[in-house]
Amino acid sequence: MTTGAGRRGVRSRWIAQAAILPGMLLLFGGLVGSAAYSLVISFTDTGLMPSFTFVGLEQYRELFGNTRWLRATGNVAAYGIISVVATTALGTSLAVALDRGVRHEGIVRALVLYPFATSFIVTGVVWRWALDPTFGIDSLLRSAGLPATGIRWLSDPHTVIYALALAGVWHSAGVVMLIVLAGLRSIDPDIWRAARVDGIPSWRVYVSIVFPSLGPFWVTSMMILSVGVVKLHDLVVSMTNGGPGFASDVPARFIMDYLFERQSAGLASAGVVVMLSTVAIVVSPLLFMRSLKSAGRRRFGR
Amino acid sequence: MTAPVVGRWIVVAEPTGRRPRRLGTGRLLITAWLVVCLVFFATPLYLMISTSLKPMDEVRLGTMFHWPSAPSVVPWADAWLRACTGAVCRGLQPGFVNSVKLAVPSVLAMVAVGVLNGYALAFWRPWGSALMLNVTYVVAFIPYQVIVYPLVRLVTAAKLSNSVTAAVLVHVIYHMPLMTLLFFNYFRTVSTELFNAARVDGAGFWRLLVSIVLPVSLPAMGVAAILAVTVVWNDYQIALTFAGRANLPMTVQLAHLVESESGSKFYNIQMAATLLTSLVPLLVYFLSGRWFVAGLAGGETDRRGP
Repeated sequence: MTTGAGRRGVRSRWIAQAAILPGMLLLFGGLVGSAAYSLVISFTDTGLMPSFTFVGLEQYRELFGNTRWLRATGNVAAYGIISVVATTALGTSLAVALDRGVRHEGIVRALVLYPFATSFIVTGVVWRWALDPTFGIDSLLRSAGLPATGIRWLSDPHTVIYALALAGVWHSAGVVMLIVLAGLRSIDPDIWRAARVDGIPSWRVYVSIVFPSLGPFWVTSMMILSVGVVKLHDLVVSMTNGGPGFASDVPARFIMDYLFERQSAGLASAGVVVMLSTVAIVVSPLLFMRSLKSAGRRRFGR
Repeated sequence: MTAPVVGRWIVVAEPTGRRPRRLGTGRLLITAWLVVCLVFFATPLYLMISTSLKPMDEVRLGTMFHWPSAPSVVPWADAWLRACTGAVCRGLQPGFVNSVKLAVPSVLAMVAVGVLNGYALAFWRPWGSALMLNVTYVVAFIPYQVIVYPLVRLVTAAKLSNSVTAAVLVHVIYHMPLMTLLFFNYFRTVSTELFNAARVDGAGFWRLLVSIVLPVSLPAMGVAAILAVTVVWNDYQIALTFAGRANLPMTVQLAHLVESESGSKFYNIQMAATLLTSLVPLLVYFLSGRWFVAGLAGGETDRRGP
């Protein structure tokens, strides 16, 4: 800690105190306050306008009896499992390939990561078109004289989630690649030398030494992906609009619909609380790791 | 975009280790796999570009992968000036203007809030800093749906409904944790010697910010600006809820364009419109590769830049 230079120092401390007020206001008024407000509304019978007639857990009971909500949560869970596993696998395989040393690494990195710079709306439009049975990849197979898959990816309720997951993988695999690549490059090169001297095949080194030590990097990337899964909305809107029927509806879209179109903000807020709890569960390992780290440090230690 | 990534995981690492060796089976497999992956990632981009340059007759042939026989920019002109988005048929050009109108003030305000919070928290530690940082860290991950209804009520009460101001305010609120943590993490790595020396010489809060801290924070500013532009430009939900019909950005227009076409779909115009919508973030990304990546890491930059 430094000591201020006399009176000016004291004045500066007061200015600093005032300078974080706008930030505090945004944080507690805008974010924490909103979350608390949503929680309160979820216990009321609010329609479009806030009402403070409390109905206990009625909205939650209604939510979990709502088939569309159950469908939406099932969808997001399926999308989550498929896309997180596939994105992690693809991103890791790319990182390993780059780590083995390839020419033009910069070009590869740029091509894998560019989808992440585009919006989910754009990603949805692109894949909606690529999976179109008349113009999309099927037409390509037909023109090459190959048997077309014949799967109507986006109009079949059984396949639409896979189609969404495919687009999700395309959008986010680059991020996993970067995180895992950083992990691979943090590994002591002596391990590789020692393994070569002992004549151990590369794949054994990966399985026994490298992959086990990538743990924190995988946790980080899975958490980022999982938060993205819970927030999933724009991709569904532009690719399937929740269809066919409600076969690809997701909680975020359900909530927006019940807030503004159907004017049942109480029910939607119950959905919000469920969403928030899910995010809390997903990021808790991270917050736990962080609190352990900071407990080890002096408070505010630089 | 994702919430700020935590910690020091993504550092753009330089290649290390051995030089690529001569071709063996392993190398061949790796190269083959990379080629397959690159086809998967690059194909959509190629399809968008080639389809956007074809007249509809050629699109209907279903020869997706053929480069247009006579590339034409007519679909681009249609997408920019004439395509129908909902009831209006003026192309994406009004949406572009709106995107700029939303992005410029949002980015400036977001970066300003980030700098001010990061600077005050990292160098002055006012009362309540620890609480503010911890809470910022926790709420960085909340979904947009959590805050939308309360903020709609707030904006309505403040008579700001359906305005650019409202959308900018929500952007600043929603992305405040990201921006604050980015600058705070950066300022923690800045050496305090010069700062302390100037402080002993009697420089005050603002003087220290302008003369000492801002000059060394250009890398963080760059990263934050890139991140903010990408996030705001790619936003769909905040603008749709808060900006109002008169100010809808390109992303919303694109979604309407794809939805509203009944009957024959003009895929060439759709693809041109898609490219136009992602032009700004893609340009930012390709021109600033490393800085963009540093932004993903929540501002893992030091004084040398990303």
